[in-house]
Amino acid sequence: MVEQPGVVTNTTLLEGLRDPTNRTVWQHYVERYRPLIVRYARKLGVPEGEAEDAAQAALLAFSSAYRDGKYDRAKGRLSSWLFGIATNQIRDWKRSHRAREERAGAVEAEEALAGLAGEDELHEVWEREWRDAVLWECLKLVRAEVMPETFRAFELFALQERPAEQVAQELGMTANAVFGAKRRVLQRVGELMPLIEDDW
Amino acid sequence: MVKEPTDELELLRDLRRVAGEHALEELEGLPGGDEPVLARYRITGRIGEGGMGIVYEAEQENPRRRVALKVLRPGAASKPMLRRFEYEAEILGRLDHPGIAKVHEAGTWDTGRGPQPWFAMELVRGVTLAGYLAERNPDRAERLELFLAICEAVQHAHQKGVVHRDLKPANILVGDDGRPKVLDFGVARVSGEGAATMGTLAGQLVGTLPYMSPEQVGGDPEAVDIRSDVYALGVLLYELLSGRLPLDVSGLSITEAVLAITGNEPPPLGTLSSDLRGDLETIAAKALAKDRERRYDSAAALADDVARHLHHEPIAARPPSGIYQLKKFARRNRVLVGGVAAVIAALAIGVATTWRQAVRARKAETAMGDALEEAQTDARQARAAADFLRSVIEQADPANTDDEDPSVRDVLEEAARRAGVELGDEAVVEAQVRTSLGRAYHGLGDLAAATENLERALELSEATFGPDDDEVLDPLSSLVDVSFAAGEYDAMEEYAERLFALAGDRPEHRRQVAIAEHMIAQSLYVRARYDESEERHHAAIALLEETEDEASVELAQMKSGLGLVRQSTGDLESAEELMREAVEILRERLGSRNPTTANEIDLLAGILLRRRQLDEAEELAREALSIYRDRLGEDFGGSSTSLQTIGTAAFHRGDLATAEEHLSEAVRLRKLANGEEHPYTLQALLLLAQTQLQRGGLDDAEEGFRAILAAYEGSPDRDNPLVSGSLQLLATLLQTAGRNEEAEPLFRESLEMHLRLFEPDHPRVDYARKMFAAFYDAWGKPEEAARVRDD
Repeated sequence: MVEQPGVVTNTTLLEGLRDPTNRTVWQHYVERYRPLIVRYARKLGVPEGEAEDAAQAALLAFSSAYRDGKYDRAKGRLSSWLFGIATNQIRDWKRSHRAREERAGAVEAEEALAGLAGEDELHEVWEREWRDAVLWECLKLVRAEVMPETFRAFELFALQERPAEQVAQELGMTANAVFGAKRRVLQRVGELMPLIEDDW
Repeated sequence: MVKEPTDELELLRDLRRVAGEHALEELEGLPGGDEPVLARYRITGRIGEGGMGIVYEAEQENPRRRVALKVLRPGAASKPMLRRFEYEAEILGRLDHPGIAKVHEAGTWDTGRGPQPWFAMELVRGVTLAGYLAERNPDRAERLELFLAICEAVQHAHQKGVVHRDLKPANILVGDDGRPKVLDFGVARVSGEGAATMGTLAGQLVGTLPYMSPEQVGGDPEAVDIRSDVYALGVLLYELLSGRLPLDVSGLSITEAVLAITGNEPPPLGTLSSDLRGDLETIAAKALAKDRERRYDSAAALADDVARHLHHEPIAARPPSGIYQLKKFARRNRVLVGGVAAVIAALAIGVATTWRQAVRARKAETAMGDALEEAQTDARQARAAADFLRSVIEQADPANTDDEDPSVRDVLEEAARRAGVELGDEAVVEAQVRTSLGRAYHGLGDLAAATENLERALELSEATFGPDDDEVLDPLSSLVDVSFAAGEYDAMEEYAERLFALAGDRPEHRRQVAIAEHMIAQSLYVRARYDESEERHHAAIALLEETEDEASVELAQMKSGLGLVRQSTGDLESAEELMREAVEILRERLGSRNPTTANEIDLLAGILLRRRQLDEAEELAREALSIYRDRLGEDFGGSSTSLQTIGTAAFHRGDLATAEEHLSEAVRLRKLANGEEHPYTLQALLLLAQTQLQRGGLDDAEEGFRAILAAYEGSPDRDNPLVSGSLQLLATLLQTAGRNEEAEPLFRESLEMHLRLFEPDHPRVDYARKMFAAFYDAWGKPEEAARVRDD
């Protein structure tokens, strides 16, 4: 396991979660996984407010299951556990939502969730979100590592796709430096990816 | 599971998507979702980051609109500043002009790290002025129209009592409709009196400096008014018309930049492009006047003149008179003092603030969690801020600036005073600041003050980190330097021993150890313990060479130090070789026009002179001299060494006119630097008088010799080669002038002194004796001559 500066490993997080009074760890845990679950839920057609609720419920469910010793790291990754719990939460929401709508006599128009019932499809959506979260973490780490101008150049040129000359002029550097910034940041993100992913 | 990106393109595409989606969660410094600001604004993206804070794109629920949410950095806010923030925020809300990005709302919230001010502003779609110019390259008339629109917006704010304070192209956006919008009115003020604009990073200051008026860099916030904005508009106009800044401060230290802004006149526009001569040149010059009384008294008046020019009407501005320019010149030193002190004070406060945050975050680190990441960032920022402060103070060090202006001293005293008062509860920062101060005082030659500050720094570091902590090394190694300079060699060796013990042979401290070794080597050299010095020099050089891939300035100095040892032991050949290596390194590292390089060149020239390689000696000495004159002025005392080398080389070549010219200048500088009776002065005087004697300028020469003799009259050190040489030469002079009675006792005394000073068979003794005898022969006293010869 490779420790990256600034990265809290999931081992540390999980150890901390055993103590229900450890607010810092809880906060970190929520910060890391909540956005991921929210986006996953949103992709499955859950409205924003409900997606937040579903995420909250999933995180609580996982932490209490973990404390009860139901999560065995040997039997699967954290990602898979969270996936299962989050998907269950969303199914639950869907069921109650449908029930509510039916009680209100509304026509079931929204099929997105029902249509995504296939486990594989859901898993694909989840994996994509998971990978994105890891990528984002890497990007944040690299930003902390490099000079602010370097990252800014990368942001403007590589991410926002502005012309290199323009970026160079705006930041008072040479176009070569802008290309260099892109190369450095990308390369570093590429290096960090497998390390962070390993212990996310 | 997560797949490896197949290639860079895929990675890049993913990153773009992720960055777009995640901006929402990227809430650096923003509080949790239940804070009022987030209840009203939903953050949807991140626009940018500046010296003062982060700008987010956000959506407001009610009224429904997109806004730019500018969140100032926490911690930059003091209580009075927050009160002013509330007051100013209210005024900013009143600005309503199509050329001004409107401030919808402003407020603060408590983040737990102190109150954090924020603004919700009109979201402007467009490019910065710089980007617009680069993209569109509008013609001159269009540029002037753009400028007029900017002036109009600024004028509106001024009428509402709001001064922008930070006008620059980065703060002006040109919308899709081609109309400019000025951003961040008054933000510079509410964000804390420049402490935030000055920022914690040099880079940010550099972006802002060229647009700052002399009164702004002068550091008195009360002195800033709408005419400071007029100045910034002047810079903008100059830039719009010529494509360059009136004063290029890039690459300058803060001190130099402040000096340039307060003292240097920008090249008139007409000198850059002949079609800018006349009105536009005059208008820009008036807007850029150093004295704000001489500027346009409003943005509107400036705009009026530009409009008149566009309409080919006579403008109101008149070119400044010559006398006025002279007066301005005289004022500039005064402004400098305030300016540098203000910059340092702002930085000191900035350092303290960031450091406090870092320490706090570091404590939180033990509790783990997100504080970890923050702590590292903050610690790094604080470190950067501290480094920057150190560099600012060290820039004021005359060794770095070549500036012996006493105002530098004022700056340090102010900084020392403030360090005690304002950093009293931040031992870590105070230790760093005191270390910097100590070094700067060292540069100024005030060794007592240097020692005092460094001792205090050492004490603070020890108390905070413990006596065995690496942090203690910094003040310790400076104390080694200072005690060397003070000639306190015992104390120096004590400090050095402590440093060696602490550093051990850990590679990261090898450099400091090497430098301390070098100090010891030098102290042995000045005590004429050449063998030991040689050994220590070797140790220092070996250590340093281990740590560096490329030869450093320090390495050059060590080699030159060893060269001096060899020179003293008479090994001129290897001395020359070492000195050449040193010069080469310094030319590489510092450039050929650097005073430190010049000093080494000078030493090399001296060795070459002694080896009678006159041409190269003179050539090198001339190079050193021209650097000294360029960089340190005509009155720099150190120039006298090169002047003496040039003069002596010329003397040996028989070019007596050149010799006399350079030697009399050497004497003048020695007198200025060391006083009339200093041995260095007298030595130069002896060379000069000797030259004058050869040229037949007997009166001048006699005056010179007699001055040397008078200086040693009654002194216990009177027996020395300077006096014996003067006696000899004066006697010869008097003989030449036919004043034999006066010459006789001098010849006698000279011979007696030579006998006391040198071994009996020394060539000089022989020479003195021969001259005395020849004198009697010429005078027609052969018995006396014989008696001298036989004596």
